[in-house]
Order: sequence, then C-alpha cells, then structure tokens
Amino acid sequence: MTTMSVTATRNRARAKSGVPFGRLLIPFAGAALVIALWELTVRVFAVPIYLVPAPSDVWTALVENRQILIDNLWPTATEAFLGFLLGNGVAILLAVCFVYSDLVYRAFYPVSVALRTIPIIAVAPVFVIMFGNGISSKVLIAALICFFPTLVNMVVGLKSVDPQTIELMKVLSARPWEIFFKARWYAALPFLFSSLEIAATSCVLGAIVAEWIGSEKGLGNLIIQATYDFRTPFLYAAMAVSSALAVAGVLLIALLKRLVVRWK
Amino acid sequence: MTAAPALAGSAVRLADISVEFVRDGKPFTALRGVDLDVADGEFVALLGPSGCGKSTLLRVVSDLLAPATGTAEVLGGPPRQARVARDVGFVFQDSALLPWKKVIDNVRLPATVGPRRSRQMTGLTPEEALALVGLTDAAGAYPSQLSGGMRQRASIARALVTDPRLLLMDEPFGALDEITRDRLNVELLDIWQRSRATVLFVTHSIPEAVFLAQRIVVMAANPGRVHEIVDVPMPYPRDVGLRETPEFNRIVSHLRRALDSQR
Ligand SMILES: Nc1ncnc2c1ncn2[C@@H]1O[C@H](COP(=O)(O)OP(=O)(O)O)[C@@H](O)[C@H]1O
Ligand SMILES: [Mg+2]
Repeated sequence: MTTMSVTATRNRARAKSGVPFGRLLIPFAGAALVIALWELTVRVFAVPIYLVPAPSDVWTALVENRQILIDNLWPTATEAFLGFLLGNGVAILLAVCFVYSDLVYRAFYPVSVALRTIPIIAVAPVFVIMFGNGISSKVLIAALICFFPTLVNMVVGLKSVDPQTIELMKVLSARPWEIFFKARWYAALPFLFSSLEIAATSCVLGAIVAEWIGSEKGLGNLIIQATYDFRTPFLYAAMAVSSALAVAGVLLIALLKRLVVRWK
Repeated sequence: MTAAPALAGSAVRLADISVEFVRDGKPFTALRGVDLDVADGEFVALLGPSGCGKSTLLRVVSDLLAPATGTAEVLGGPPRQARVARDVGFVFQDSALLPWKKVIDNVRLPATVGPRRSRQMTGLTPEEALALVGLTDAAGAYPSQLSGGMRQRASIARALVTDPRLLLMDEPFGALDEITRDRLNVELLDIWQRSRATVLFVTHSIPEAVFLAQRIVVMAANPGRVHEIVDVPMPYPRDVGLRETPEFNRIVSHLRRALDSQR
C-alpha cells in the first residue's frame, strides 16, 4: 500500500506541475534566436527582399494583408477540417471491417497499402478532374492524405487488445458490441490519437496542395499567386498562416488526447 | 462414480473430455480422455508442464471452448448455464485488468457487461471486495500504477463481486516474485475458507500446488491428459511453516518424480 501511495503521489505531482516553467521557455528562446539571426543575416548581406525577406518584412506583410489572409484561411481550414473528418471516419470504419472480417482484410488490406505508395501530389490532379474545382476535390484530397495512417494504426490498435481481456469479457457473457465498445475501442484509442496527430498536419497539407492545382481561393491559392507575382514577403506570410493552422490542429488533438487517454 | 447419487456433491464433472485444435494445418490433440471430478467446496490444483492443456481445461469448464468429445458438467448443469448465471469466476495470469479503467471500475466491470439478468450482483460490493484484498487505498488508481501483486489482488476482487461458486485461476501468481506469491497464497486460502467456493487452480509450481490444494491433478503433455491425482492430506488453515514439514516435502518429491517420469 505504501508503494501505491508513493507512486500515485509522484504521478500526481508530475501531472500538476508538468514541465518546469523555465524549461517551457527554452523552445521560445530558440525560435527567437533563429529569427534574430535571420533578420541580421538579411540586413548585413543586404539580401533583396524578393529573394529572402527579413522577419520584420514578413510581419509587415502579415499585418497589412491580414484581411486577405483571414478571408483565405477559412476555405482552407474548412477543407482541411472536413477532409480530416471524412478521411479518419472512413479509415476507422474500414479498420473495424478489417478486424472483424478476415476475408475483407485479406482482400483489401494489401490494395490499401499499395494505394498508399502513390504520392498525393500525383493523385491530386486526378481528383480535380473528377470532382471539379470546388470544395469537394479539396476535401477528398485532404481526406485521402489522412486516411492511410489512421487505417493502419486503427487496425493495429483494434487488434492490440489483450486476448485475455476478450476471454474475460466472454466469461462475463459480454455481447459482441460490448466487447467492441468496452475493450477493443479503448485499446485502439492511443493508436488512433497518434495517427490523428499526423492527420492534423497532413489534412492542411492536402488542402493546400489541392488548391495549388486549381482554385480561386484559399491559402494554397495565395501561395501560388504570391510566387508568380514575386511578392515574397506576402508568400512568407501565407506560409506562416498555413503553418499556424496546422499547429492549431495539432494542439487541439493533443488537448483532446490528454482528456481522453488519461490512463497512460 | 456410477450411480451419481447426489448432484450437489460435484462442482465440476468432466468425463472423457477431448479437445482438438488445428495447428499448422494439422489436427492437434490438446486434451485426450480427461476425467475429473471436483467436489463442491474443494480446492484442486492442476499441475503440469506448459503445453499440457491446463488452460485448455479451464476454458472447457468456463464455456470458452467446446470439447470435441466427452461431457462437461459445471455446478450441476452445462458449462454455459453456469457462465450465464455468473457462478464461475476467472482469474487470469496477467490480471487482464482494463488499463483505461480505474481499479474500482475494473472491479465493477462484471456489473456493467453481459445480459441484464447476469448483472445482479449477489456477492460483495466492489468496495468490500477491494477491502478484502487490501486495496482500498488503490481504488482510484489506474492499473499501470500498481505493482504486479496488487494487480492480481484487484483481479481477484473483480472475480469475487459475482460471488462465484467456482473460481478458476490460471497461473494467477505465475508472474510474481516469490515473496509476493507466498503472501498471496496465504491470502487466497483465507478467502477460499471464508467463501467456501470451489477453486480450480492452475500452476506449474510444485510447492505452490502442495501448499494450496487438497488434491493435485498432475497432467502430462502430448496429448494433454491426467497423469495422476495426488491427495494432500494436510489440514487448514495452513501457514508458511507447512513448507518445512516432512509431509510437505514428501509430497513435493513425489510430484517431482511424477513430472520427471513424463520425459
Ligand atoms: N487456440 C489454439 N489453437 C491451436 N493450438 C492451441 C490453441 N490453444 C492452445 N493450443 C495448444 O494446445 C496445447 C495446450 O495449450 P494450453 O492449454 O494453453 O497449455 P498450458 O496452459 O498447460 O500451458 C499447447 O500445445 C497449445 O499450443
Ligand atoms: Mg496456460
């Protein structure tokens, strides 16, 4: 019992204080240093602004164009979010089919893995041709890019349940759906969240790549426009907003994981 | 044996049980012709080398597996009936606690799954069961925060909330260090004496079998079968001092020879 309370107290202490405050500052200090060096290099060597803008130039572009950036952030965010839901949702359902039917698994799992090797950039034009220039082709491309990691992780996760847990449930006369929702599903959750973390960034990537290929709006469209017009500070600003979108997604998933997967 | 007078006398009756698996495309006999009678309230150990079908035998009794031949009767009916009535408790080697549930919720699990009529808990409350195994303070912890011995205690508590008349234990202390194992053996005997449940206890430790059981079923492998049944005529309550007695050591060496002769 003593061991128990000691471990529990230690875990609680770690959970409460987390990382010491000073250590939280280190990554920010590192980023500030990189930005400062960048600013310094650009100024000292008088690099032309259309080649590499200084961070201060990017900041100016960001502030001046904030309305345009925000207007174009929403379409991309919507596509990425819907793609995230669709890709992960279908992957989860398919993984359930794979785990419950050996026939389906053997028939379609190899195909799924083979399809995965096709680079997304090569598939994107095909989708634009099939589904047009609207939101649906972007959502589908974002979905596709989320799909495979989640499918693979979910299959592994659903199968990771301890065989003794299944036997225990059967001794307790648990019905099949109880075995699924009370055992397999929970066993799969840590695996699911690892792939959702990947998907949170890749869905933004998918949406932006899809916008490059054909669209009138979105951050991807801004990036292409800025490149053609040599508006380099604006290009950097669009990049910064895209990466902020992805970071927001990752943080959201990380928060959700902390709330859901409490037992690790 | 022939007349089968009082049904109440037997908790488990196995007659000519065989189990076959398909392994590497070939049929494989895991158990052949097993006969076993376990009296109500008895503590019986199943002892044998790994692979001799001890777990398979428990699976037949707990209705996880249907035998290829023979008949199994558990608490006076088919194994299925005993399982659905929650008269059978199972304790696994690796505790089989659900890592995502707190200890107390793991102990409550039997009340949350299965058909409604199975969920009526007649035994101890989850809190009482935890207190019985000395885990009251750990109720709110997750299994990953417990030691191996505490996890096994929790899994015993979970088995006790259904008030099982038959407790099946598959090498429950096999992964524990010897000191913890000895302590849990004493605690288990205490629980058994109070509940008067029937216990079928799988182990491959000879001293553990002798310390715990009234009768030891020595099994042999390839195919899995009953080799010999040995009585342990020593009274309860037993304590650790028993291990020093000549009687204890006589039975231990007898069993060791019985297991050695199988090779
Ligand atoms: N589901 C199964 N499929 C095929 N073979 C099995 C299966 N379960 C057990 N066996 C085999 O049956 C034999 C007995 O297994 P088991 O009852 O687990 O032995 P023990 O518990 O005595 O170590 C072993 O050789 C094992 O490989
Ligand atoms: Mg076994």
